[in-house]
Amino acid sequence: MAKVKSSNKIKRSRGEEIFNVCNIIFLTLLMIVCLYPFWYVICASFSRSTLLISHTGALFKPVGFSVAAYKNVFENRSIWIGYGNTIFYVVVGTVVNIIMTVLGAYFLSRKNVPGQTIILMFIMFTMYFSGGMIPGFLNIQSLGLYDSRLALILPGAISTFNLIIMRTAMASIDASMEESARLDGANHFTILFKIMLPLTKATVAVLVLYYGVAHWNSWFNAMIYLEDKMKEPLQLVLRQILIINDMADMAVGEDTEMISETIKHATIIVSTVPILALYPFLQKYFVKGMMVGAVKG
Amino acid sequence: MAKAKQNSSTAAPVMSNGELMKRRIWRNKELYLLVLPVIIYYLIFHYKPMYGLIIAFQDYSPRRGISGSEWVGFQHFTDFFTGIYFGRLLRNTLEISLATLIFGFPAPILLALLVNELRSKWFSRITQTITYMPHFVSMVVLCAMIREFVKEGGLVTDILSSVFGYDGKNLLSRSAYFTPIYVITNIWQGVGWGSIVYLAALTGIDMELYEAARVDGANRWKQTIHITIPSIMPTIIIMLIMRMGQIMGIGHEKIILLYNEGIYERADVISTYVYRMGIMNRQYSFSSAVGLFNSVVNFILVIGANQISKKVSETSLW
Amino acid sequence: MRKTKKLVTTLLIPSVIASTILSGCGGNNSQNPTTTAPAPTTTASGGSSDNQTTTVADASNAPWELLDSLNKKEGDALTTPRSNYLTYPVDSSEATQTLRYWMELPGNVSKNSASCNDTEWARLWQEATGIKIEFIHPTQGSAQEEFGVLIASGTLPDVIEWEWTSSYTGGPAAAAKEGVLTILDDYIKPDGLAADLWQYLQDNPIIDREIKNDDGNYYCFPFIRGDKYLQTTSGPLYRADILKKAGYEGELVTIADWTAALTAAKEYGVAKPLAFQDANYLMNFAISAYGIRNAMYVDAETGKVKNGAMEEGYKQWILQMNEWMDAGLLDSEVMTKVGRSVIDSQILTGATLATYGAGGGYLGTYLTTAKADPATYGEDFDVRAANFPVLNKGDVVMYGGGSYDYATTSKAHAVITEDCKVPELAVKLLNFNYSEKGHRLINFGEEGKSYTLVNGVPTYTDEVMKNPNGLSVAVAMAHWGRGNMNGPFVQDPNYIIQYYETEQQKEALSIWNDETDNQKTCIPPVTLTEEESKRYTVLNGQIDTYITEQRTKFITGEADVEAEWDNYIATLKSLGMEEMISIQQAAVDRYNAR
Repeated sequence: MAKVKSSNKIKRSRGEEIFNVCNIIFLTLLMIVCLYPFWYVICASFSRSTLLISHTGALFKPVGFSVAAYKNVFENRSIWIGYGNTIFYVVVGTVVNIIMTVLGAYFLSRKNVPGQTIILMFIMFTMYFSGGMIPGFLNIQSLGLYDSRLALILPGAISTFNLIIMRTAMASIDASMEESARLDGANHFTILFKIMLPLTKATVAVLVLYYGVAHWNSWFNAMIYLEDKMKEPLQLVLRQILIINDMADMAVGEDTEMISETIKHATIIVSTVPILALYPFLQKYFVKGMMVGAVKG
Repeated sequence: MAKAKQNSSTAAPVMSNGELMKRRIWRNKELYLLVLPVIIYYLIFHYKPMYGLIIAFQDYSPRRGISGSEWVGFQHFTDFFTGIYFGRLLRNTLEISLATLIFGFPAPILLALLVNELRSKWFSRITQTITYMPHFVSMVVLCAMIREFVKEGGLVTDILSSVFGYDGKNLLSRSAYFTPIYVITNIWQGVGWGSIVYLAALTGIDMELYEAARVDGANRWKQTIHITIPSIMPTIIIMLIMRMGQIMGIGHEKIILLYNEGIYERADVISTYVYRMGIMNRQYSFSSAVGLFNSVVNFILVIGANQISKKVSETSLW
Repeated sequence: MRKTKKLVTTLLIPSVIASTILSGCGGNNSQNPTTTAPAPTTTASGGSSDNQTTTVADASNAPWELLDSLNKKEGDALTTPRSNYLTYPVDSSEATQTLRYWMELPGNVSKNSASCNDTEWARLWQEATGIKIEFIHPTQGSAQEEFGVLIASGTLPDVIEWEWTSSYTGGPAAAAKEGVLTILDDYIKPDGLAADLWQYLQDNPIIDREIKNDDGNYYCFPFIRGDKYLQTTSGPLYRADILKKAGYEGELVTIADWTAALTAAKEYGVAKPLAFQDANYLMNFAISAYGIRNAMYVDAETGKVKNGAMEEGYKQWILQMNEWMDAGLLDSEVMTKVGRSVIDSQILTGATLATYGAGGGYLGTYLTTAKADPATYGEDFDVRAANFPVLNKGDVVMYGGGSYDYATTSKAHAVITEDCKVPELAVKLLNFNYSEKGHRLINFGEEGKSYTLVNGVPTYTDEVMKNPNGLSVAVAMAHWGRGNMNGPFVQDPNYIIQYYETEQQKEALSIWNDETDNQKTCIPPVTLTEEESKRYTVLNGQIDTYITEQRTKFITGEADVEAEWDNYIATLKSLGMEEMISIQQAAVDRYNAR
């Protein structure tokens, strides 16, 4: 990108100058639109709820100042149970995802394998047609996975889209490396672990992020497959508090009713800050991942 | 594979095709072993539910199972098509989906083009970083924020009231605003993230094309029209086909988190209806029938989009 | 006339309530076998002589000595369990299995414990019966979905607490056929393992009639609201202090009174004078004024089954709500689920004048919260109950509140599933609650710890009333006993008279229960046949969805009720509303014929 600009630098018309200024203004506004909601929520979470209820319009700083809402959120066990469960689902789920995806992708990326096309079609077909929500749901029950943590891990063990990304990455590895390894007597396991994985580790990293984020965000399956509150991931706990407006768990004492308005905002912050804080460090992997995905499968 | 074996038994002496095939299979036996878990996974979690779709033609009772339940033919489909909600479900599904497509699809392309025009590397990077951020907000939190902002006395409602004289009622209690809220927040969350693909495609454009165009006296605008956009066209088309596949598959998660009975008229879509009928009301057969209808239409749309694209632009998914 | 009556009740409340309720309890105590047992007088009425004969006939087989009949007549007050036939704890050789027990996690338990497994009452119950239990709870707010999933899952827990007449497709009949519940006739008999429940039903034939299905079978261990004062425990609530400051001096009897009061509050500066946590609360508040109930009910005049949403009164109610909303009197957010905590804070801060809620969790919480912090909420903070509004002065409340003794709407009736390997053990566990000892334990907890007997009345100790760990009364009660919750037992009225600590709460109980005639318009505990129930569920699924949606649109003004009324009624008819009413009518007829 940078190159494009420097070479374009030679001569610019007046029209282009105006365009550039407008472009910068527009993008700046866009950034404000992207950021301000977060700032609003932060301000609201530190506000005094009585003042917040009567406040109208934008917030640029907290109205009054109170950390009571945070105190409440931090004392809420279900949020921490949810955090713990989510970490479990993200870690275990992603490990399962990666193993399965790598296995599938490795097979599909080999050359001259009989039956490969059929298996590819067999897999690709599921991207375009599925049993849908209800048969999927009944399937989980008939497998005895209902109310089991596995119900949040196994059904989504492979994202076909990610599988295709991985396959593309593996197929693009120079075949001569594999051939020479073969001549040295390496079997498929060795090739996969010693050659393919090290060479595609950037793509694997990207998929780790993709799968990880998907597990982090997931709530619907947890809602329909889980019964036990102790197994609920964070997002489901959040839904209870933020969408269903059920703050029963929060009312430790009886005076906390006063701050229900700010509790929601504090909950949003507590549940979102960790991922937003991680995100700048991970951004380049994500970007790389999108590029990998952009290449035709 | 079975065919290969047959061949090998009939044509023996020289290295026949069949023999060759057999050897290739044998040589790759480890490979098949590796892919076995993947195949089992697809069988159990994708193909078995497809088989499960036959309950759409039954009066399925969970205690009796598929084999013990009564067959009713197309009864549930007829009920759905003649029911009072069919029209509006189809309309809402298409409306919300097409609106998301028409407004949501070009937005990241536009953003990518604008970012591409930036000369300051620093500004370009900060723009990208910040516009990607909303993508990392989870669906539940996003919807919670939306609900807070558009409720009576919420930020957006207040702004609309003071600027446009809106009556200040919760925006989510007015069905007319549902699609706009859905689409706008989709763009808010996805525009930056969606632009990555196009930015990636933009970096792949051959610089010499621009040089040549400049020599011919083309300005930036013309370069954009004649070089930039055609160059990223294949990416756009691939993304478009993939989007087409989602037209009937408009996500239920976000709608479930946002809608309420008062605005079902414009917010209820097929997938949310399936959820309510199937999971909440436990009408498994009926909701499977509705779901199957949805899947079939969806399938036809994807195939259709792909065929058209193949003809028109020689770009296709397969 | 009304006014004077009201005044009198207000003045007399504490004594009136105490005397009615305590006299009831006094009665209960006298039925305690240790005190003077009623003499076995010769039976007078036919009904009780039947009971008497069956008792005698079965008594020969019973391994325990049966108590004498109480010879109650129609209309007599309910009594509490008084027998202790079975021996507890059961022999350890018998209690080989831990019973898996599925029930909703009550809100008051969830505030202190993640599961009922962690409560004192669960521990006491297990110790007293010698039977081990493992509780399983659905996610709060998704019980309906998860119940469906549970049933579909194929493997059921041993015991399920649920509502079986309308929340299970096919009703008890289908549940029995599908193996979800077992018929209990072999246990609920004088020589059976649920003999204590049998005795209670013997003592209270009204309830015996209510809990059976139409074939005369027992299918559950029921939740019984054991007293009139337990039947209507929610109603309209308002900030009396604000109303006074707003200069409103009149009474709160008619809809017109309320309009005037809410307007006065609005002018005084109350932002949302009338607000509710969700649409059901809104309906409960005033729909009764229009001579209808939410959903099915029995018309007071004709005795026929009707559905509120079909009646002209429904339209009148919606128009009134539209009027209130347009005038800014009714919270415009009401149709989206506002949520309990929001309403609580609005009432406490005075952003709302009136709402609908329970005398305990709502009224009680407001009063104690405000009392604890007068600096924030004001010295004169006062919330009071009002009766359900009526249209014309002098009307008696017929359609607001009310419930049958057998609380059909509570998801609290325990059944033993067919998957239960040890049904006898489960029967013994549940029967315990209907024995004299079990009744006390399940309602109040442990004698000496959570309650003591004062003049024979179980009285909560400070462990509950002033919990040292800072638990609220409701939460502490729910930790020690199920008295303030639903479940398979007979709810004891002594809990509520103590739970309703304040004068305002006792007044509320009197207002809601004494000045109404609302039970006869409730649908009695009917059971539908499997066929009927399936049809009813299918119809109801569609109709309910349609009604809810239309109601929301009518109230928010998304749709104009006047313009669309005919269309709306026509759609309801096309969806089978009339068939649904006739199914319900048939069931009520059968019930009346029991």
